[in-house]
This record gives sequence, C-alpha cells and structure tokens, in this order.
Amino acid sequence: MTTAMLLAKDGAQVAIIESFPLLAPTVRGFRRKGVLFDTGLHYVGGLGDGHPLDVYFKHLGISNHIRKKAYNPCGFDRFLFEKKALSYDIPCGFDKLTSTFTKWFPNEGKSIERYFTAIQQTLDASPFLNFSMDFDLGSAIHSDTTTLEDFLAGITENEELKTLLCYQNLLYGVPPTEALLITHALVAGSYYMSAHTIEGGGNALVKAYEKRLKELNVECFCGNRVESILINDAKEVEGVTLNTGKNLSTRSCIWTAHPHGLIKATPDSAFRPAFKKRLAILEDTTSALMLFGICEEPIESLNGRNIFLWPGGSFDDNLNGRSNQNESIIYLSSTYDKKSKKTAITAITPQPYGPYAQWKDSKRGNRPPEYVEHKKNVLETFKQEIFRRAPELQGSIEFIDGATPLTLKDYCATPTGSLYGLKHSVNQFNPAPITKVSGLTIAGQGIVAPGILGAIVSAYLTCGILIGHDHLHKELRQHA
Amino acid sequence: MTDLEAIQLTNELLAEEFELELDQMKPEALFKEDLELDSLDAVDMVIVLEQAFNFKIKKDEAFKKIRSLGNLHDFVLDKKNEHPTAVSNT
Repeated sequence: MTTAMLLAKDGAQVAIIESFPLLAPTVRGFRRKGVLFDTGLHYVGGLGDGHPLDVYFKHLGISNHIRKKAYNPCGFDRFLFEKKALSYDIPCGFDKLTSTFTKWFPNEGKSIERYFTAIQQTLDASPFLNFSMDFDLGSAIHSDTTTLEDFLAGITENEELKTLLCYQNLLYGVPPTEALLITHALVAGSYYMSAHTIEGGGNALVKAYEKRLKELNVECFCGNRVESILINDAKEVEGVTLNTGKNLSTRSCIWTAHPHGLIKATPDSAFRPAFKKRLAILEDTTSALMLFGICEEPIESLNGRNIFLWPGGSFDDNLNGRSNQNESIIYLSSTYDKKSKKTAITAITPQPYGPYAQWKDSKRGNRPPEYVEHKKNVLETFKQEIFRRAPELQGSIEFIDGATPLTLKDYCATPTGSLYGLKHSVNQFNPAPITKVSGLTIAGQGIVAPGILGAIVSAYLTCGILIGHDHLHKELRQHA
Repeated sequence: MTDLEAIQLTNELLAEEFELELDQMKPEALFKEDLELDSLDAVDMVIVLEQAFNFKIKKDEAFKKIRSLGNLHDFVLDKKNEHPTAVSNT
C-alpha cells in the first residue's frame, strides 16, 4: 500500500492486487461480539513527533487520518522474569534507558552504555531513519554481519541484562544467535525512541491508508490473485494475469507478497536456476498461537504497556519450536475499543507450523474436525497457561477466539504462518529490491526489516529505485 | 578433493546455475564483461559455492574483490585449503 501511494503521488497510474477480499487482512484486525481486536499492530516504534514513522506517515498524508496514542513512556514493556519474580518496566528515550538500566545493573554501566550507543549509532547511520543523512544506496545493504548474541557476549556476561537487551528479538522473530545486530537496532531502536499505538488499532491505520489510496486514485483489485507476471523474451515486464483470467498491462510490477511466490508467478525462463533455488530455501520466522479476550474494565497493568512473561530458557528454543507451552514466552497486549467501551486483550506465544502442515490445504471456515479439535485443545491449554502464570487476570478476561499457525498462514499469506515473513538472519541473504527482470522489483518486510516500519522503509527503498531516491529523500526532509 | 577437481566443480556449478556454456569458463573471463554476471548474481554465487563446498563466504572481504573466473578459482582453492575438512555437498 505504501509503494502504491508513493508511485501514485508521483503521477503513476497504480493498481493493487490483493488476494484477500480486503486490503491488509493481518493489520486490519476483526470484530467479535462487538469488540474490535487488533491482530497486527499492537504497538509501533518511532511514531513520536519527528521520529521516522511519524515522518513517513506525514509524507504519505496518513497523519491527518490517524490519532496516535503514546504508550507509557516510563514503561512501555514490562518484562517479567517469572522464576525470579522480577519485573522490569522498559522506558523510552536513550538517556532514560541508559540511566534506568544502570540503576538496575550498577556494575554494568559500561556495557549498558556500549549497547545503547551501538543501537543509536546504527539508527543515526541510516538515511531511512535519520533523514539528515545524505541518501546512500549502500546503507540499505547490511554489510555488518555481527550477530546480536556475539555483540552482547562481547559487552557483558550478565545473562539477565542480556535478556533485557535482546527480548525485542520477539518483535522480528529471529533469535539472538541468528539475528543481525543491525536488524535488532532498527527494530528495538525504534521502540527505544518512542512507543505508540493508534487509536482504533491497526484497523484505523488500514482505513487511513484506504482513504489516501482512494484520494490518489489507486485502483484496488481485492479478492484477486496474480496468477502470472507476463515477461517478454527481452526479460521485461509486460503485465500480469489475474486468477480471473483478466490481464492488466504494465511495464512495472512490484512484488510485495511472500518472495517464495515469485517463482511460481514468473515464467521458468525469467530467472536463472541459482536465483530460484536461493528464493526457495529462504527461511521464515516462527508462527504463533493467539488468544483474543474481552474485559469489561481496562486492566491497569496493561494500560499503555505490554507484558512479556518470561519463564527462562532460551530465545532459540522459543523461536525454533523447541519449547513446551509452559516454557514458552507469553506476550500480552490490550486495546481499548471506544465503540463497545470494552478492552480487547491479545495473548501471543510462539508455535511451530510443523504439526499444522497436515491441514495446510484446508480452507478457512471449512477445516477438518481433527484440526478443529486440535485447535480447541491447544488454545484451552494456552488459556490455562496464561491464568496459571498471570493469576491476577483470571476472572477479568473472557477469551472468545483464537488463531493458530494455520489461521496466520491464511491471513498473513505466508507459507508457514510466519508472523514476520522471511527471517532477517546472518544465515541467509534476503532478496534485493531489484531483480534481473526489467520492471520487476520487490518490496515488503522480507527486504530491509520486518514490521510496519520495516515494510514502509522497504517501500521507500524500492520506489526510490523507480522514481529517484534523492527526490523522495528531499520530500521526507521537509517533514522531519 | 584435488585443486583441479575443485576448479572443475566450480566451473560446472556456474555453468549450470547461471546458464553459461562450459567453454566460456576460462580463467581470464571477466564476470561482468564476459559472463554478464553482476552484483545481483554475486549473491546467488555465494550461496551456490557455500552449499557446494560447505564453507562460509558471507563475511569474506576477499570475495568482494573478485573480478575474473581465475580470481574465483584462487578464492575457492584458498577457502578449501583453509578448511581442509570441508566436504563437497554435490
């Protein structure tokens, strides 16, 4: 949607092809029993005044259509070490973070300073987040391959501190052993700047996008799938064929779906075997179980903050499907729904896709009874686990629905229900925004970084290739 | 694997994965000018070689300096000799 807006703003005639019946199914959320549930936004980093996401939204003309709501700046995340019964409220702002962490870990002052300095330096060095930097295409290529784990091992031996400095790996789904420090800096760093939600959640954001797309005359073909991209012998894009048989003529196609689908949608001769094999072996981030609940009254501990229940163990085991449910991290988040005057609760825990693969060909609303039974059992166990580990919530939340990796596979349109699409990992090369086919480019959270900010940055990078980076960057600076 | 076998394997892999002819695989062949392989192909090449020879290239600055097939042969042989236990996966 961001790429469509940027190109339409530049005068291009743009169409979006979306296989789901509505745009942005994951971020849009859903309503049950009159209550709106936020499934894909929860909270975003860098939306404070003048921060990167704020600048992007202003440039896109989105800001006027949304109302941002700050998370608690003194503790936007509460991280609970369950075994030690210790909890930490993570504040916003680099100075505040450094002083708060130093108060918590007085013997680790130097390590803490090194960590936050490294994060800040990474953010400052990116022209996509620091608009005063001159644009440089090279900065979009992550040449530093230091892993988060190696970096943390080099600054401290304190395991508790390490956990607190790296728990945001859950927001991009790659454990510290594989995560690049640079990816961590881009994601965690944006939350360190500022943490917000949007009034009305992801649904309000999608509606703001829809409004702007309409204003910019972008045509949306929802419920349509690109069956094939038409490429001529000179390896130039000529159009796309939809699953309805309709042909749309174009010289430029931006693929923003999961990169695995690109090979199926292009003629065999479009790419060399090496590229096709490379795309085919790219690994995805983990999937999850989600529970959605309703509270009549807001829950104080979740007001303007999320809670992470950490039972100990390793992020690797959590994110690679090796943890039992009672050893898995649980993320809790709440949103107030103005319309129903009720609070919607979302609980998420990592869950591997493997056991669900047997039902991959079943359709939403028509799953086999074995799956329905499995879903019921696994969500009931998850619910019991939440109440066991956060007993104060018992009696105040009524869980009314849930999602499994199979649900996420459909809504996120990822082959294995991954929450964040492709892994940004030291072990793999994600696709570049340009391809060997003239007129065929790629954008989305698999390219630069995951999440809403990551997908937006990727859109600016790809559109910059098409309409000029300096031109886009100059416009962004006017809003910074 | 002998050095000659490693060079042969490199040539065969490049020919297969990048749709080149084996007779183009001369040490003096320049990637950009003669084989028409660019920086996008270089990333694919890293993966092809890593999988075939079971060594890591990603962090290696020397790879970025490769301009000709002969340079690549030297690079592969150096890596192979650095990691004598690396086994060909082909």
